[in-house]
Amino acid sequence: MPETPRYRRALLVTTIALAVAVALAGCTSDEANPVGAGLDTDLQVTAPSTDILTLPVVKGHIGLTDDEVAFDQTGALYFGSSGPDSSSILAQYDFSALADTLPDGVVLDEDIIASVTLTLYRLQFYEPPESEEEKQDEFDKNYRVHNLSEPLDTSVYPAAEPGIGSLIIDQDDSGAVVFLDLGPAVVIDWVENGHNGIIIREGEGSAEGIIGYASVDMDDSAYGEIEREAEDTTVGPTLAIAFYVEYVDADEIAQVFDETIVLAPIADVSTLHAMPDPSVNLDTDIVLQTHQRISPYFAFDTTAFPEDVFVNRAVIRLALDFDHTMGQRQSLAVHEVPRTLVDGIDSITLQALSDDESGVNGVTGQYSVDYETMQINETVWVGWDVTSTVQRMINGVLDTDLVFLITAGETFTSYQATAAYSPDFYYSRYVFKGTDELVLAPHLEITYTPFSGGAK
Amino acid sequence: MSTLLRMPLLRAWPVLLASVLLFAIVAPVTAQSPFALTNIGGDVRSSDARIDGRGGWGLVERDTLVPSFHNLAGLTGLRKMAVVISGYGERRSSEDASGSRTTSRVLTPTLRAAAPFVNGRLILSAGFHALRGTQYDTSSERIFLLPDPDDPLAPNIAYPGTEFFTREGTQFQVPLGLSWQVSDALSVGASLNIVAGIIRERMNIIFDEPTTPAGLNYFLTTSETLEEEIGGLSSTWSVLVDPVPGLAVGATYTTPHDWDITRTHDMQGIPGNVVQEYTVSMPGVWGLGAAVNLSERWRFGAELEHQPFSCLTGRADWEAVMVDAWRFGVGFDRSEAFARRAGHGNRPLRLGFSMQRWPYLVDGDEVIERRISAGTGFSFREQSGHLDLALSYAWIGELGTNGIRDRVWRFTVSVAGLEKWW
Repeated sequence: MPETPRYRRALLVTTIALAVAVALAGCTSDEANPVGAGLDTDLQVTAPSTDILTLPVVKGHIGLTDDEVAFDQTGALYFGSSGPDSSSILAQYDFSALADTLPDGVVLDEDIIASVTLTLYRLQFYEPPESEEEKQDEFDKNYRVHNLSEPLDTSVYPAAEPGIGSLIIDQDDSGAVVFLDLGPAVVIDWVENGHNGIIIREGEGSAEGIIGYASVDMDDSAYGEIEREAEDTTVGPTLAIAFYVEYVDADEIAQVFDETIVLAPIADVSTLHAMPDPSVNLDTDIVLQTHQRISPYFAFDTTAFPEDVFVNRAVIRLALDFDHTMGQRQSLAVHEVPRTLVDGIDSITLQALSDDESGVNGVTGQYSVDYETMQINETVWVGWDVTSTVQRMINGVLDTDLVFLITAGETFTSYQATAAYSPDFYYSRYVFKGTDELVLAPHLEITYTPFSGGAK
Repeated sequence: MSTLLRMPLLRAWPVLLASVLLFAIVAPVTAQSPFALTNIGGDVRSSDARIDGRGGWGLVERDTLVPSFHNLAGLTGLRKMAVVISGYGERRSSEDASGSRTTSRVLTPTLRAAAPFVNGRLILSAGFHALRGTQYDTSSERIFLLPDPDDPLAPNIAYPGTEFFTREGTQFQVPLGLSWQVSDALSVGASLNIVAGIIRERMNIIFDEPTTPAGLNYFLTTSETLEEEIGGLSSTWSVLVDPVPGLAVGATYTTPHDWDITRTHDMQGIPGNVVQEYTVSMPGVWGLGAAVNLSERWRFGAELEHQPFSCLTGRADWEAVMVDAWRFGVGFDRSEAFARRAGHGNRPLRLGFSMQRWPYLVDGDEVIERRISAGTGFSFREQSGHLDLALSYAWIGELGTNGIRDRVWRFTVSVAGLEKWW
């Protein structure tokens, strides 16, 4: 159809109408801004406020044990002291086959032994801690090695140090690998007079700190804490006996026996003999300890809170006591646990705590905080976000007879932490200020917004 | 009808209808007016573009080619089934002491239908149309005193936060009507109106600071919702009289009625909610209009509507600021003609002015809305329907008295279709 003036006019009308439609269709609206915000609306949300609960109504420490792992099975060996804590290393070796390793015609005596070195491999986990100023170079320690007066029985530890015999060596050393030069006579004495084992104790003048060394059980490549030459390299407190002897063999041929035999201990264990018990009811300290596990638990009274509040943030805070804390930074977790499961009980197995099958008694929830991200000052607040738990407790949808239990590295629940180390293997002791503290006492901060709709 | 005139319109009206659908379906419904943030909300009624274009008067309308539902009594004489869809979009500039905001929105269109019986003396009608709207949202910066995560026992710190507030919802009406032509000069009508709707308010407070090392907000967002679900039933009575040639008088009266309201208050994160039920007694609405023929095609009309909202009861907070609402409109209407070679002279033309007082005070003062308007329209082929357009500009409120003011462009589009159905 030819375009008539009227047709063009109608097309113009159509175009204008469409343009107006599009312009008014909402595509050019400004974003919401304060215009109109000053008017009184029906809905007026209350501003949040914060309450701080400082007096736990339930509190204590409980030991955690692992039915499936014996104390000396996989533990690292702990040496040194940190505050009141102290530990020595016990090790025992088997020399019964030593003579058989020598060539025929060579007699085991001091003259053929070039050196006897006891080597300790420090775990990376126990590198000197970084301070705010600069990294500490190394732990300068004094190592005193004694014979044991009685045969070593690892099953009794942790316990007091055993009876101590003669001093073998008193040596200062430091570094990631420590070499203690015991001398040939020691080995000959053990072979000829019997070997009860040795104790490696910290001597005077040592730097503060407990160091973890590799144990003989550390033969699993899962523990990638030590740089080993090969997967089967023995990394426990090894004895390296270097032989050098020139001799004539049965065929009247002159030979040289120049070899080093490495003996791994047949048993080793830490004494952890000076580990003061934490305060019974958290008054003076709150202790979380791995390896020989101790966990604190506590609960705050939230019954005074009205039900109709929204919890914007609930945080449990503990003030770290750096003077008594040792070990490395890692993620610490707080769990919801029924009070009856832990309150007033000396210890509980991890298996009972994670009673997943019943679904009744076990841990019901967990939260973690990345301890590595905490800023380290003289005193520092370590906080756990427990918003969800507190919200449910206040709203009455969660049994209020719960306590918060703090652990580190446990795997009985499925939470993921950025820094977790096996508490079976590693020893760390985190000490927090107790409830008697005036300012730095543990507390629960609840920032909440009351429901403007009132009681329901 | 002129063939030369009809041809371009036949090409144009489907596109124009598409634009109506664009309003109704595609466009997002956005902010309405900050005045709608409080109380019962803003008046969003619109009968059709013809009435919008001439100042809002239409109680005397009796047009069998372009039926009007403004007064049901005026539907008598209809010979065909009529369907009218009408909607409008607005571009609004709002201003208060904090600044200004320009918004666009499209409202849910009005849909009305009527069917004639007894040679047009009896008309049954039904439909849907919005009464009031409460759509608006704000975003404002606020300061909250909150504990410092790094030093929780120190005095609280002033952290910035953002408060998002949204009010939304439409109150609408489904009228089921009956019209009867008593005589050539007298028609009456009545409708039963099912009233329903929602007023929903939602507020979110986002605590922008502090943040966690992962960059997340440290404090969880507070969120509350208040929803009022409205249900009611009213009736409207109407009359249209032609007492003398050239003069028409119409009136309507909607009875006082109750709104049964269920109020539900929720807070995110808290189980359960608070539910209250109460009743608001709405005042009746009466309207009176008249039109006089100035010439063969020109008419002058006026209309007054009054609703004594000061009599509203059931909401103490509303009652405290309620005032009697009224609306007054005047305007001229040149009817469409079909003279040969008359060109634009055949086209209908409407001009009007209206003034309206909102039913509640804002900032202690009454809200006055003034509006000027103009409109025109086009017939479909064989006069099987009509398309009408209206453009208006309104001044609502004043900064000096209400603290807020709106300036609004409104574009109304109506399509009326006629068809035999028996």
